[in-house]
Amino acid sequence: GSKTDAPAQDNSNDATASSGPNSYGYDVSAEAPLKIVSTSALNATHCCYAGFYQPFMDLVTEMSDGKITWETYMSGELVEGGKEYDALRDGVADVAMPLTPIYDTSRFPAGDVPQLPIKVSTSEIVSNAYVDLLNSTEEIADGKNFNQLYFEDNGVHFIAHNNPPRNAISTTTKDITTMSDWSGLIIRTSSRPQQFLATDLGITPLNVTAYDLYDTLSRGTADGGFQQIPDWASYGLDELYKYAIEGLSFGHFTAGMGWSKDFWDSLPEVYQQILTDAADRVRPDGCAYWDEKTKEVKATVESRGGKFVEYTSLPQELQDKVNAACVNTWVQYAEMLEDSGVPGAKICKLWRDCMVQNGAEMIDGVDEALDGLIEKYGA
Amino acid sequence: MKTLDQLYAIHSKIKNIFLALGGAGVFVMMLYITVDVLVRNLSNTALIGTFEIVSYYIMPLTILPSMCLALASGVMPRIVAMTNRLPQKAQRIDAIILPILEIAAYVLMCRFSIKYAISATNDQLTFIAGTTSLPVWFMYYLPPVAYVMMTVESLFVLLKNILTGNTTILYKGVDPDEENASI
Amino acid sequence: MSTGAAILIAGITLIVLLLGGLYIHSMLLAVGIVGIIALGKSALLSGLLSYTTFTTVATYSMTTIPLYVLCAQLILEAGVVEDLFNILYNISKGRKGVLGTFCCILGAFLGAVCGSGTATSAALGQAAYPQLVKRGYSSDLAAATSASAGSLAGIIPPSVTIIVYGITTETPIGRMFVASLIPGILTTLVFIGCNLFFLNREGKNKPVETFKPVHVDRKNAIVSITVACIIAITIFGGIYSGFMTATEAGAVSATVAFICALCLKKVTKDFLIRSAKSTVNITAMVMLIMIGAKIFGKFMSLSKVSDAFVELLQPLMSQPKIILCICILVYFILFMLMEGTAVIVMTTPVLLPVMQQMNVDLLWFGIIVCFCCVIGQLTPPVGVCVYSVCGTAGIPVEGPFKKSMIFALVATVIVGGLMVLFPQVVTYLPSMML
Ligand code: NA
Ligand code: NA
Repeated sequence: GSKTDAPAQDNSNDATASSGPNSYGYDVSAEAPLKIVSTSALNATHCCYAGFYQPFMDLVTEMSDGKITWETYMSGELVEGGKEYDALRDGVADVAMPLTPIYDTSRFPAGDVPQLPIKVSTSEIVSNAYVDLLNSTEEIADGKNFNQLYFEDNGVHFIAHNNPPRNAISTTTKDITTMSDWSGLIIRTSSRPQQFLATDLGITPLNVTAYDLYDTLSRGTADGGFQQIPDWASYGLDELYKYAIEGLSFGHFTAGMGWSKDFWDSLPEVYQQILTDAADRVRPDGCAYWDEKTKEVKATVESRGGKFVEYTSLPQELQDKVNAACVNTWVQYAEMLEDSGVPGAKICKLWRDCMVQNGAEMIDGVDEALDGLIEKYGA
Repeated sequence: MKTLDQLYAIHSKIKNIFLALGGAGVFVMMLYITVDVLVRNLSNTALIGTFEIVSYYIMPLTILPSMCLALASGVMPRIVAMTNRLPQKAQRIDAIILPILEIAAYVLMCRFSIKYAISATNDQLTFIAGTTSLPVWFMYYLPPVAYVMMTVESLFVLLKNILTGNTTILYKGVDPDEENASI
Repeated sequence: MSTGAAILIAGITLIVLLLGGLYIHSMLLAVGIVGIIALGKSALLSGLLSYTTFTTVATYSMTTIPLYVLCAQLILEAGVVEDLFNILYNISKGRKGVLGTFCCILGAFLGAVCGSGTATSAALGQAAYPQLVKRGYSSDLAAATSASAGSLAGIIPPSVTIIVYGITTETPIGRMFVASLIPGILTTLVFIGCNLFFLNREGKNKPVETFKPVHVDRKNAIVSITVACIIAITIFGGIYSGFMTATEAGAVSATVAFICALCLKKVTKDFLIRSAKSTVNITAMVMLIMIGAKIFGKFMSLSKVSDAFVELLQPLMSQPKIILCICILVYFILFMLMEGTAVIVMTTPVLLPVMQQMNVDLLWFGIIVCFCCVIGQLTPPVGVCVYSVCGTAGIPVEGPFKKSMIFALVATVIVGGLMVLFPQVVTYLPSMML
């Protein structure tokens, strides 16, 4: 499935066309109409849905002259969150909007690699990095690249969406100025890299569902979370958070559009091109949508007396120790994968490269640690 | 009839074993969550994975095998206002149709859950507690077990109703306490 | 087959199976399966049904059901409730009205430690019903009062109904708990009033009994009152101080009840078996119904019936009050027929878009729905609280239903009316939380 980057204008499929290419350069006159069944665990207001999937579907319908239409199921009504992979495999849905490999480490063992801490990154950087990750031809194992190994071999055709901005660390109670401020904090964590980091910083991790989080934070059962800022509003947390660190990313919650590969392969080539092209066209606006929402939520929080502190303005001693913990998180994560037979060092390095190529800044020491890991686990 | 009662007594024994499992599960869950709360509040650490272990191991073990027991105990709600007014003969027919419908539903559910259990086994499905992957695939065999038990229960009711012309859809008279009386 | 025909077939199947006496959970399963086949989507059956059983059960927030039921079972089995009744009988010098009132208040307090109306009703059917009958209540009124008092658990926090609504609609559960306090207290007062009214009517034809104080061991009395207080403080204090989440409170309160039972030296093998059996039974019942409801719900989504319903309501969109009345009516009917959580899981995905479109406060709407659910537990044909009490007491349901329906009707008019006319009844307390 590497035809995905064929530029739209190169399309010269003219079959028995009665009309020429439309204004997007596609000629679909020879193709049969198609209704695609999509499932989503998100609701219509979520930034991924409102900022990417809905405009994407509308654009696809337009680009296909109305031939591609959608049968949509929202809010997990048909397929509950976390079971999208099964739905694709069983043919319940043709496409998951989104598929979340980050939560399904049985099928996608390195799906949570984007949760590793980074210094500077944005929605745009991480979204483009994910595109590069999928397009990377670098061999990871068995002569296969990342996409083949973890998506295509699993029967999934994966397309990057508008990934959310960084997870900020935020608390309802206290500012963090010394290392000892971490200890005693109860923070909601939801992935392996976050868990490693929390342990290293001396944070007490707590696992609650996203909709229990409001109660948990409002009564002080938990003190904070690692979450992207726009999501605060969805769960009413913007009323509760008082302090957040900027300029250090505690990873990204990445996901993407997951197609059943069988279904995808059965599509006419022109439809595949339209779907791929539409995603590329919508993605930048989708990232901007996140940024817009981030600004809104930040303004709300600030108007309620909350503050956002620049990481670099924190005491140097604290930064050094946090950096060390972050580096350690990369190492522990890669080693954990290697221990379970997954080429963790290579995958971490590939993810680092994809992020850096798109403008992310790494935490001091991560590069050296990665070199060490590559050396340790070999090629 | 006697044979049927004897076979049902064996089935009840299995249900009671599952009840013991369910009962133990409830108490274990109670203590486990309480200890988790205490540890979190009294020290600066937490038990890792309580949330997942309770969700993926203890809850299914507590509830799924016990479902047959609930079915057999008569707590499951249904509407009898109409059927009670039917003539006796119609009530007898109804009491044969109902278990057949139950069996059909449970057999289907059993078939589909087995299919998922097999695919979960092939995928070696896990869940993550903290940073540790724990296997969960084998837990997916509990729903088929539950549905097999309920199918068997309904089968007993069906046979009894055919043989005796009963109009209830509970297999009466073999409550563990009354077991000896009925055999 | 057209969607309309599929829905029609499913609807007819539903009515036939329901009236034919099939268990509610099997009925939901069967209608879901038949409906999906009628929609021509039988190829999806396997994918839709395969993991639902497991995922429904393997949910952390669902631990509240067994654990709150266990807590109530332990308190009851330890004899705390009976002691409290005897103490009150002595203090009130045997006045019947006081005992009925106490039964309602006890229901409210049990409701405050227990999430399930079915569980509380079963508890009161065991503990309060015999006490009321012993002090001269008619069997029907005693059962109706116990059932009504028990049903309060559904609206007084914590409540399984509210938790399920909160999860399906992503409404903060804690805020809903706070919001349900005033309606819960109002409903309690209405039930007390109904009890006194019926008692008056009965009392006219009956001679006043002679009062004979019951012997209550002083030590036992102190212990029982202490236990009740400890558990109440554990839960309310624990949740509100941030010591634990509302979900965890189920486990902690059960542990506290268990420790109390240990201290009272009530824990025997039999005690443990009885408590475990009731707990497991009630939990498995609720879960089975929820599994059926989920599969029925998948059929509902596939049929896109919610879109049709929303379409149907569209001309009325400018009249939110009318739509709300229609919805409440629909809920009232559904709750008459079905178990509460099943109704909520089934209907919220359908009604939620309508409510959102009308900008209805989901919290307020949720409390109304949960209130309808409480009322529905008291009305025939499926009134699980009345069934619970009658089941434990071993009496027929017709007589109690005649009385409990009036309890339900009066509460609907007074409390329901207040909530619709003055939404502040619901929204005031949560608005104070910030
Ligand atoms: Na309650
Ligand atoms: Na009812």
